[in-house]
Amino acid sequence: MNRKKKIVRNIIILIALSTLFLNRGISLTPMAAHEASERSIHYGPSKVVHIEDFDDGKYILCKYDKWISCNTVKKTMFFFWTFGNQVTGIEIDKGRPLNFTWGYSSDRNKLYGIINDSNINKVELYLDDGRTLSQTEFYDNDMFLFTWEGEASFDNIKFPRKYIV
Amino acid sequence: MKIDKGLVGGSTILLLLSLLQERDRYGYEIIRELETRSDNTFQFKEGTLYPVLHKLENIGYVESYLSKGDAGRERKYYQITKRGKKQLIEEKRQWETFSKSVEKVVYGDDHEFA
Amino acid sequence: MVMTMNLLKSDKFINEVISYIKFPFDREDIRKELEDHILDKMEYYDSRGIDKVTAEELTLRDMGNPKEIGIALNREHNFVLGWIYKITNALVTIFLIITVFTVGISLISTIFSGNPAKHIAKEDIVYDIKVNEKVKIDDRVIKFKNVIYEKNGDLNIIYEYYDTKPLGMGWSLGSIGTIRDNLGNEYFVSSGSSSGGIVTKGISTISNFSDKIDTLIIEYDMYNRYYKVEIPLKTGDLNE
Repeated sequence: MNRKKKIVRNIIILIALSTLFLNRGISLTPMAAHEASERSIHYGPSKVVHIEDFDDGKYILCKYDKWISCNTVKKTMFFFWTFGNQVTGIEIDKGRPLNFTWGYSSDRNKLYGIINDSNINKVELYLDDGRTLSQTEFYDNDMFLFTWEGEASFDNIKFPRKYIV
Repeated sequence: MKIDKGLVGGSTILLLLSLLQERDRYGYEIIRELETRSDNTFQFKEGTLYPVLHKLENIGYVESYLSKGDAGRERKYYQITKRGKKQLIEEKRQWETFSKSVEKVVYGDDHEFA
Repeated sequence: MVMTMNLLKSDKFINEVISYIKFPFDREDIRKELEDHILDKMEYYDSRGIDKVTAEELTLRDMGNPKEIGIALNREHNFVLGWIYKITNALVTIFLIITVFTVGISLISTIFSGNPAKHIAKEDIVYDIKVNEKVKIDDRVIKFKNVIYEKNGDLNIIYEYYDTKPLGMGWSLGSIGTIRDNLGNEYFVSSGSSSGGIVTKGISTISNFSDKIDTLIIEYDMYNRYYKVEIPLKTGDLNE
């Protein structure tokens, strides 16, 4: 076998071995990591409505059947992406004007939810350190996501409604 | 008559592949065989054989391996590959066409009606 | 042996050829090939009765111009290709080691993981029912192996699961489902699962389980995944 052939053979072996490892705990893309983590925990496959970046990862806001979720995927070993945290979500309760839940992991907070009352056009979040976060444009028309760093917890969440006369 | 043609010009591949078709050989063996068979017509700088052999290996016409052979010392032998055998057939064909054309030009019509 | 001869001029010749070979890892093979040729030619002259010194001179003259040879050889030993070859070789070695290591660890864990119920003494067992039912959710296959009822009222469900994807790594199984009996009572389990490896073995234990129950029902119904396993239990006549 001459050198060129050996190089080709090597590359094939590398690709073959890589596929054994990829999408099992580490993936080439954040979406692959997200999908693998959902399937592994027996959830989804969900529809992604919004992706938000942070330092070394992404929040992936999703809807699946009667549930909403916000998965987290993190970058690892420079090129790869790994399994998310808090993969599964909460069930949508149409009886309430708005559903939400909150997750916290190494100084990062995420609070996300879905609006069931179409009259709501703004969601405000009051943190106990004085900050206020708000959102008026919603993902997929009805989902919101707040992220913040630090120890502050949230005091209150308000959703003023707009009334149509 | 001694012909010094660098490495016998364009028919190098034909010559080398022919010799290797018969059996696997190492570099020095090839030189010696070329000289013997051509009654010393083909003589050239022996070191220049190796770049050609390495090139043939890069192309894929031959493969090399180490072996002690009959001759005691472990040497690098060259072996013709399937691709090489196919190329040899093509080279032979081209050589025949070429030499017939030369004959036609040099000996002209006389040859034909002989 | 011919090798022990002092061939300064030949070494100088070969060194000059080699000096034109840019990719360092091919130099020694080329040196050896040229050495062999030179030695063969010198033997030829030697067999013709020519002295060693003259033989060497004649041989090197027959070889040709070292610079020409070196430059021509260098063309056939591409520097870039050579390095790609070396690097991919190293990567393949690394990947193979990692694969063997990962697979090896998984296999060893699996082989040595043993029985999660081994802490249960034989004389404490009221009955041990072989269940052998298999279910699958997504890529996970779960096998319910057996149910062991102890004299102290503990009911143990022993199961194992594996990922159908090769070298599958993922979340471990959270819950095997809701556990009920034929009368509709729901039970809470304290779970232990042991070892990973390729097959994970687990045990779920219910305390104070009544010996009057007919059937144990394990039902998994989450996020549109579903399975139900019904296990008839022995009642009445207990351990003989």
